[in-house]
Amino acid sequence: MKKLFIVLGLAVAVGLVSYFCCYRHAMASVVAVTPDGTDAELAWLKHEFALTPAQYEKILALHRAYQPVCAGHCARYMAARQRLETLLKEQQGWSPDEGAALDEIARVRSECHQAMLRYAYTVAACMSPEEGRRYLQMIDTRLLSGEPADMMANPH
Amino acid sequence: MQTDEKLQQTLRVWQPSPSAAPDFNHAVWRRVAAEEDRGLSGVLARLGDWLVVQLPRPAYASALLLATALLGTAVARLEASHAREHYREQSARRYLDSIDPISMMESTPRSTR
Repeated sequence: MKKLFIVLGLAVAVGLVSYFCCYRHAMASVVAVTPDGTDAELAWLKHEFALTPAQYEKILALHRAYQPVCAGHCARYMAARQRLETLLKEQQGWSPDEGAALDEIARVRSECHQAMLRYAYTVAACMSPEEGRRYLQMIDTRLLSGEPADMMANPH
Repeated sequence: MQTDEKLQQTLRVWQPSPSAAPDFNHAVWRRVAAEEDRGLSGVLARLGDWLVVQLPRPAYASALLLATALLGTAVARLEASHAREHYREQSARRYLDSIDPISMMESTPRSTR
């Protein structure tokens, strides 16, 4: 009986060790924070689109240059939304101010998407042609559907 | 006549006492064991005996260890595959949110409505 328990204990230990080793190995490419302190999504981009170090450096620079532009659009959009919300609460009927606020929201959204597309084309140009196409397909899906649900249908 | 009477008397008191078959006891125990084996308790008893006696032997023990190692590896690969897929989707979403926060803001209320 003692031998049986030893064998069973060993079996459980072997199973657990192989599980943890294999899981750790399989998840080695998944990083939450990059060693150089950049965002995890850029580390994912590097892995997902098989970027070379040179490509990654270019895209990192583009991303950092784009961030303030994007933040500016975001701030303008939030302000326009806030203005529209205030007008909707304060006014009981249609006013030209509401129309102007809606126009401003649409204008900021359009500018934001145009800037994003310019950024995306520049980023795609830094990638290999095939990966660039796949990247732009992801951007197009986002732009058209707003949700990234099926955009990763063609895994790398 | 005397002989007939003697014969008759002998026949009256004679009791046949056949000797048991040579493997009688063995056959009885075999049938008892067969009956026990038919029930669930018999199966469990045999399994218990096998576990205690056979499993610790090197051949079976090695097979068990190999099987658990393979099982652990297979389960880990399956879970890691799911986790990686989830990570890919989340990372794609985070990246796209970082370059297109307006769509994220506009889609969030729609999805929670």
